[in-house]
Amino acid sequence: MRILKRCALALAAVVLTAGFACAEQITVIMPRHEMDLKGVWERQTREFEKATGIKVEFIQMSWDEVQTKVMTDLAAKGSSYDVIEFDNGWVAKFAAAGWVEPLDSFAPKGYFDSLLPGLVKTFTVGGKHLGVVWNNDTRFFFYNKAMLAKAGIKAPPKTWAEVVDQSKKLKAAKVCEYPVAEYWNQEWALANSVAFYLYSYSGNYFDEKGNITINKPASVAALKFMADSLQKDKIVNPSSVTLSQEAAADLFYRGSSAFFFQGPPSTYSYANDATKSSVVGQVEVASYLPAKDAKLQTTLTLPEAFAIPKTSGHKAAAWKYIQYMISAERDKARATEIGSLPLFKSLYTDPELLKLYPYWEQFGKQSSVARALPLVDWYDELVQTTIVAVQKMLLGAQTPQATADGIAAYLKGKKYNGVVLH
Amino acid sequence: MVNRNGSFGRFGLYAAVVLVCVAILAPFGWLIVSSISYRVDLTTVPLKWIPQSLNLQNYREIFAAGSGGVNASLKIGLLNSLVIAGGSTVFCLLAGSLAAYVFSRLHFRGKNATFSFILLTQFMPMIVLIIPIYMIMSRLRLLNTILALVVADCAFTLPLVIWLMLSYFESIPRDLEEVARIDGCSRFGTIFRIIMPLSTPGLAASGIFAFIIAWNEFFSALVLSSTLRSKTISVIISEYSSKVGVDYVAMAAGGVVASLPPVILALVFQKYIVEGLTAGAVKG
Repeated sequence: MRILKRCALALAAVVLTAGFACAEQITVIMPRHEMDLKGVWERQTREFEKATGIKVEFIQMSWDEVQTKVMTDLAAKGSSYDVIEFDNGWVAKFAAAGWVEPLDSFAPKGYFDSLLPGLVKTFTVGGKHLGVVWNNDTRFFFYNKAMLAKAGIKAPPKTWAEVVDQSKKLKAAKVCEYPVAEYWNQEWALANSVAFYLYSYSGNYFDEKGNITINKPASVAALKFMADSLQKDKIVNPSSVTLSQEAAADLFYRGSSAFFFQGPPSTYSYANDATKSSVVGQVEVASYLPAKDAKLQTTLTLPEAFAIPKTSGHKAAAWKYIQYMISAERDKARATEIGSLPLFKSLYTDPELLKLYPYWEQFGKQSSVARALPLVDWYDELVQTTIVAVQKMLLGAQTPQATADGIAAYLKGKKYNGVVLH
Repeated sequence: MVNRNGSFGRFGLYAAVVLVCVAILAPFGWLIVSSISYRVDLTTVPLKWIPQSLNLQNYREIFAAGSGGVNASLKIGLLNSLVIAGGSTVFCLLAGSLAAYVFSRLHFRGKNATFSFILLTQFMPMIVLIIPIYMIMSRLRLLNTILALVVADCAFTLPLVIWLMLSYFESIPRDLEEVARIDGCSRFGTIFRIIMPLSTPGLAASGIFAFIIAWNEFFSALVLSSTLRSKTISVIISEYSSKVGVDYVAMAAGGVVASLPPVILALVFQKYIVEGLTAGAVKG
């Protein structure tokens, strides 16, 4: 009897221990999706727990806080997290530092092919997929059709020259004083705006061969357009030099500006929400973007991805989480519930989603010319140099050429893809 | 002539009081108005000081069960903040009062130097100490726990409580203690039966300061906590910002909810706060 009791106790201990051993736990850290006001990502994470038995310590914070925590932990070779936020601006830095695990061995065949190619490419380095996108933050051109109609304008501008021309018509018709509001405050987003204008003038910081091109005519023309639109043509709101992205958007929602060249995907739904906007029913999504000429149309894509740190002790479980959350089924559920842009190619022709969001057709057309920011591991330094120099230019303290020369001086000697910039 | 001067003086005094009240209360009033407005009302020009329709959605989400997003987390953050601020306040009052008594009543070598050293810690900003604190908590496996935040808050609040209570104890006549000791009361008995009851205003003042400091603490909470297990309300309020902007209306609602506990405490204990802060100001 005593032996039987001891055996029973031993068996129970084994079963309990095995049970505890099976309850694997991973830690996921990500920023809140700007459109997820209902906690959809948290709810889907709990569904993952029920479906797999893997516990998830789910950390959601503001983007800045996530950046601080992730960078600190990776630099200290910590293993606090198993799935981390992987921003498009960090790809080169993380790849150079060898901080994240290539995901090719985890992903089933055809997985990456089912995602939008531009988004996949952003997080691929040297042929290896380092991240799986979770936020398709492509920017789009929106305009206020009612304001254009009041000024007798039938279609939004296709070139920057047309932007100036239409803006002057809007001013002359007293529809608005400053048809454009930009986010040119001296912060990270200003560098995004600079990249957008550079690309739309076929300019760039440097080319693939390592030639510095920021101070060449095409790029200088882009910078000159930014300065002239503010200082000479006066079509850009002068407060733009202090505006954040959100403040610039508020001017658009208030009906103070007619064009929003690089609005986030949520702009259309916000503009038609009477609790947030005074221009309900007036905003349209263009099928194209203005550029120096139509062939140079570009829009920025600023996606965010999940990555698995090399120091994670639960890589297989981490991949299960990523594959579960970034699946067509869950992606469609998020798109339906909160309007987040799909990550999978197939969902852009989904009849149910197109019925809910008919303007996604225009999004699709603009997305075809999406480009990423420069993928270099010193991008944060480049941003700092650029925003200081460009702010000086916008405030009239230096010319566009001097601005470009200053940035070029910083770039000289920097390494890009094994080439020294010259 | 004298009456007119007196009236002018009184009018000037009341006008100054109204001005100061407006300067202090107007931002809080705007916070409340923002929390019940729609975003479109906050961005309209000219500004609508009184919203045309009330928006109570954020308050509903904060207090309702089963809601998601940041608003739902605010309830948990509120509870964490109450536990952390309450815990550090109780500990600081107990330890601080005893320490202040020692400095007030006892004589030992190095007393002044020790007291100065304790006060010197107040000169160090949190940014200088946060990395060592983080490393200590990490090694003790206390990261992302309420205890870590209580310990961090106590480290900064205890010197202030000692200083405030010392000033108060100095104003209590030593004769009362001597009489109690003659009657056979022990040292601890004297402290808890004579000194502490007489020090209620000082304890209230110190307690409210300790509570507010712990309640408002953001930086150490941000670094030492990651999940809802220990996140405080000030950290959760900062999460209303996203990549593209801030949900000002929801943040204002969170701010109103976060400001209620310290405001209520200050109103309840205001009599003791004034008494405690001015005790010992006038001799004899």
